Amino acid sequence: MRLTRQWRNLKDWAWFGFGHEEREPGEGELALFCAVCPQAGINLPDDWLDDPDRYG
Amino acid sequence: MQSQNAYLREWLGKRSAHLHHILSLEAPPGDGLCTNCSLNPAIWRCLECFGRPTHCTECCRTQHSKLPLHRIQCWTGKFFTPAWMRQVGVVINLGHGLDPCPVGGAHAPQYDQDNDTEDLDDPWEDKPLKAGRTDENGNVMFVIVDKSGIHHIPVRWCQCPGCPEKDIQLLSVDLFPASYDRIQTAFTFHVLDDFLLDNLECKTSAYHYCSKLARVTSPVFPHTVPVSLMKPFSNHVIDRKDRIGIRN
Repeated sequence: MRLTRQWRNLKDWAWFGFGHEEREPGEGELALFCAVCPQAGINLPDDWLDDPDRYG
Repeated sequence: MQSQNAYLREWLGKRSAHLHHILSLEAPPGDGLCTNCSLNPAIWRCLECFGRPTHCTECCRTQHSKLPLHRIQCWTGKFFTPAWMRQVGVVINLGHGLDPCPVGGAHAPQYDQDNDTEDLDDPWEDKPLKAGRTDENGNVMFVIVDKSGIHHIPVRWCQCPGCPEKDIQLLSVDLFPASYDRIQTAFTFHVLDDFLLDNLECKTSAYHYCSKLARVTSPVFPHTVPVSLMKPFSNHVIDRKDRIGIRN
């Protein structure tokens, strides 16, 4: 089980291009961009933070 | 005994070095020459021979004449791309311990070196590769379903006087024919037994097992793999369960 997690992690690093980089991945750098999730500046109104129903 | 976390912490320090080494294995090793003859450039890499040796076309074919279901890759100059034994010129010879039948000598494979990488683009689209068609030497193209994926590979029957029926010839090399009139598809005993084990231990359905085989065959485009396997596969499994005495 531990080794499968290690292997999966190695694959992730390779797929996201960290095999040849000196630095370690930062926050969100091992995740795929999701076009469906709300993304500020792309598919959210500019004033979304002021929307009283933003959690609705 | 170390805890799992301690093992993981120990590994963290080695992670980058491991990754670097694993990635370096993606390049052809050493001088780029065949590991067998050291004469010709190695363009084929076998993923199933231990140590993933790289070979020239000639050596890859001779080394695999009796291992025709190994999965290989071809060096394109920049990376290794998936390839199949038929592209190297491997043919499954039946009836003489996998050596060519002397009677069918006229159809001995004449492999053309210039055609090395001809059909690499889309192995499923190439006409001569469809099941039932014949290759350039008149050998019938088979679909062989194995644990290692769904192979298209030419089969050369034994044509000796008094030779066994075609289905028996296939059974002799652990291949289970999917039909009897014009046999074009066969399953290895290996894949059928593996399904029974997966079915018993992992509760895998035949449908999901077929999906897995498609994924093994073509990890990125599993939907391009012919899917009409489902029915023969289930029937085979029932046959095999009967044969080895399993009932459910």
